[in-house]
Amino acid sequence: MPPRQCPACDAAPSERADHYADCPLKDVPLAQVAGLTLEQAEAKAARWRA
Amino acid sequence: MRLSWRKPAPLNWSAAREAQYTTAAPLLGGASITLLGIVITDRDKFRWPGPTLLALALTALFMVVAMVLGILSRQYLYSRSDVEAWWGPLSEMSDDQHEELIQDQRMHYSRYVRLERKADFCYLSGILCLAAGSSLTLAPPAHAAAPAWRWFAAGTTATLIVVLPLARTMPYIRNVMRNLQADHHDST
Repeated sequence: MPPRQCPACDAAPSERADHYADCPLKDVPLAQVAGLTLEQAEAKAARWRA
Repeated sequence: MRLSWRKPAPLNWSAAREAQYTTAAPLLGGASITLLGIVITDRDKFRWPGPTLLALALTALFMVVAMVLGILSRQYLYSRSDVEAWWGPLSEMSDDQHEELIQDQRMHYSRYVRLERKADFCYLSGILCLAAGSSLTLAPPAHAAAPAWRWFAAGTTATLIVVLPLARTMPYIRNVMRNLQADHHDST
């Protein structure tokens, strides 16, 4: 099964604990956005920042 | 948000999957077809020839579908250097074209992952059917003299049917737990 990855920086929680340094979604924990589409992840990031 | 090229994680994950679909799946599918032939010709030497044939036929089917999906998915996986090989140096391209190529690669990568998921599901199902088929093949016939070792062998093979799905679902269970913890943190 393909690993779940961050849709922006492709970090996978199975490989590392956090996003890569320049990821635009780095404010949100990696496990929260891994496996989502970019649109879903952006919506989640907006909720998280709010 | 400026986005970059997508990549597998770990980087050689796709190479490992390629070996799975081009080497392992054909071999295992072929082995199940061979076993199928043996069970068909010597039905009376097996305890449950009907279910054994079903499990082995399903193995062959799943392995062939896994192979087809795996190979179909491969056309959607390419890297930035592949793009440069076909389109020329990215540094000499307009920003718009560069952006379009990134968008294409991201869309293709998503398609690749979707097909890979299906191929992997078929491969795993094939392995489970092969374990079931092998286990049924190893079960001693009703008139066997000392069946204990045959039953032990059949049971050992059958443990795969439990262990494999558990091993595959554990990362997802862990992920759900992590998400629940993060949601809890989010709400407090």
